[in-house]
Amino acid sequence: MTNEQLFPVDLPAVEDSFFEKHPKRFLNKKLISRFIYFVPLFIGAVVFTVLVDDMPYKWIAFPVLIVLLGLSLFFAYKEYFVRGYVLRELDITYRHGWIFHYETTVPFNRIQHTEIKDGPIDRLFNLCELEIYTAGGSSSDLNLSGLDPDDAHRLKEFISKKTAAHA
Amino acid sequence: MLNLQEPRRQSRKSILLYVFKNIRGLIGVALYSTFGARALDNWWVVLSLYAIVALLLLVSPLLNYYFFTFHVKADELIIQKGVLNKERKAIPLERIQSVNINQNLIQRLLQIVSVEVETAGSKAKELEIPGLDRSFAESFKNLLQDKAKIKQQQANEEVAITDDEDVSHETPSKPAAANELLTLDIIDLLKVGITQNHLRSGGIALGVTVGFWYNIKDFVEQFYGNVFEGFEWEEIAGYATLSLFVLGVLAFSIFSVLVSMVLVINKYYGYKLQRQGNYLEIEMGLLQRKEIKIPIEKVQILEFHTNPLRRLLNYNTARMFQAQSGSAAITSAEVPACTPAMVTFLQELIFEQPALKDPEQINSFPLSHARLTFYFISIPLLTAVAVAAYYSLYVLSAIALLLYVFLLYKSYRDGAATRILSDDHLVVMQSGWLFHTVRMVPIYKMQAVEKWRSIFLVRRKQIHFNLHTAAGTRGLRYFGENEVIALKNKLNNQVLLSQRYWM
Repeated sequence: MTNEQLFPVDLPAVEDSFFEKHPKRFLNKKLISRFIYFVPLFIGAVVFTVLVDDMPYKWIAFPVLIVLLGLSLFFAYKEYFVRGYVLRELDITYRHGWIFHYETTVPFNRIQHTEIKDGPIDRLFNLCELEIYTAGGSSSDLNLSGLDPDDAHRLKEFISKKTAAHA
Repeated sequence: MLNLQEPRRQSRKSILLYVFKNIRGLIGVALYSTFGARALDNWWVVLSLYAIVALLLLVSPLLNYYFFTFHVKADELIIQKGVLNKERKAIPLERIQSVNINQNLIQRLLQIVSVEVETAGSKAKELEIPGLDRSFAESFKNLLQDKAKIKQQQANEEVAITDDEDVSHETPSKPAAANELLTLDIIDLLKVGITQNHLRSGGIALGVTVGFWYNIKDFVEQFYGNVFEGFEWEEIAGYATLSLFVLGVLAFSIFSVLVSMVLVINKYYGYKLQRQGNYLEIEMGLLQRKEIKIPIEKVQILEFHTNPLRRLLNYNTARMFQAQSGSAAITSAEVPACTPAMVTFLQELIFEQPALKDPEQINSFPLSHARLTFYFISIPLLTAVAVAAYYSLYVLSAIALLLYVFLLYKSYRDGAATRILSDDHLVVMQSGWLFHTVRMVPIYKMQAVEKWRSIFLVRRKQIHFNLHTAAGTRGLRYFGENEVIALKNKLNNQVLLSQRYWM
């Protein structure tokens, strides 16, 4: 066992590390779930146009909805490629978001507990969500959605071991 | 020593407290139902309904009192309450962050106090014992805190044995001699009151008045008819002359100053800050008396706020933030009227370090702040200028234009005053031109560091910076990308190597 003295200056920067991507099927899941959100809206628009007679331009809802859907899908698509995580010996970094891009680093010695979640659509795509909780409010909690279940469990195991060593 | 092994009830006077609480609710019910029930012919139905409600309101306090018990068992504080919905809360003693004693007007009349237990993740109101005798509450509070302290020290020692690195211990509690740090007399209070942010208190007062008016509007109209019949907004616009405007502003400012004086005196009356061992104790309040006790090592963020008026008096308002949960109100303690000497003293006390040693400084880009404001205010304010000019209300038009220019200039200056200073132990975030704010966080208390940006900043190579602590997030905007990356890695690496307990 080595026990060399470490200096903060000598530790590497997060930016030098390789960001792990989410599995490709996460993108499909995102696109499809975005699409599903819009189904009730489209049904509403159809019902509206059928029921209301005496209104000009009542079809305007359709192009608006289609544009919104297109934008939403486009954002989801772009967002997939900037999402990623880095797991290092002592901390985890997660980045996400295209229009508003966040990159958060949480050291293992500040993590309270971790949790694995999945919803019906997640299960359909064989995905799950890893939540990493810190103390005091939700501001610094990490939410790694769309991981392979095996990877997620391995991550959880690894993080719990590291956290336990610090508790 | 108190015997807390057995479940025990509150002081008997708490029954009266519950009665008072119910009466307050009853008045509302009575008001609404009298007006609502006038339509009903058979008054005895109404009367018997009243009788039932009144009976319930008198019986429920007895039940509340009877079923509310608390005791300490196996290092847990256990609170049991509820008649139909039984609740049992167990709080491990080492999780207790602070124990506060509060007293509102009714409690003061009854000479009882409420004890509030704060933990890192609880809604404050949930862990409250509302009716205890003063002397009992005092010794209860001390008992809880001593036990919590002992538990924590035990935990720390266990950690210390397993760690091979040099762990900096918290110093064992010093002899508990109360050390008075600050008391405010009525002159100080007046000074604080006169230098309040009047615009805000005026705004709050206006909001409350308008809200109240909407509540009673229906009653008033029922009795007096429509007061504002024939009142049209167009006429107001027609009357809008300079003198009327000046008069309005004058009335509003006098009103605001009065409101803020009253608010300040009510909040801070009899303010006393003292140090007792490892705790800071604050007592304050006129109608609602508050006693707050904060463990010094649990303070996560220290903030100093000031405004132009207060800077003339050399006063700051200090705020200390403890760990909180997301839903709870922020648990902070305030020290108004902080002189510069007090500011350095608080820094030294809480961070064991008076000032930054050769700090690294990164500055914000002021133009980016101004640009953001430009995007937000241009459309509403320039429209206002144009509309006022169209109706030949040139005074209003000029005022809107002045406001527009002032807001742009202000955000530029705000940006110029925004900077982050850091050394090996402390991060200091400064911001604000008129309303100057200094936020201090010791590095080992950080939980996560974050950089973020909108897509429009990529080309400009600018980025925002956020710090997450157990007491919430603090952040500043528009810094150079490389500088923030360096800062983020530096801070994170310090936290990685830190062995101190941070909560």
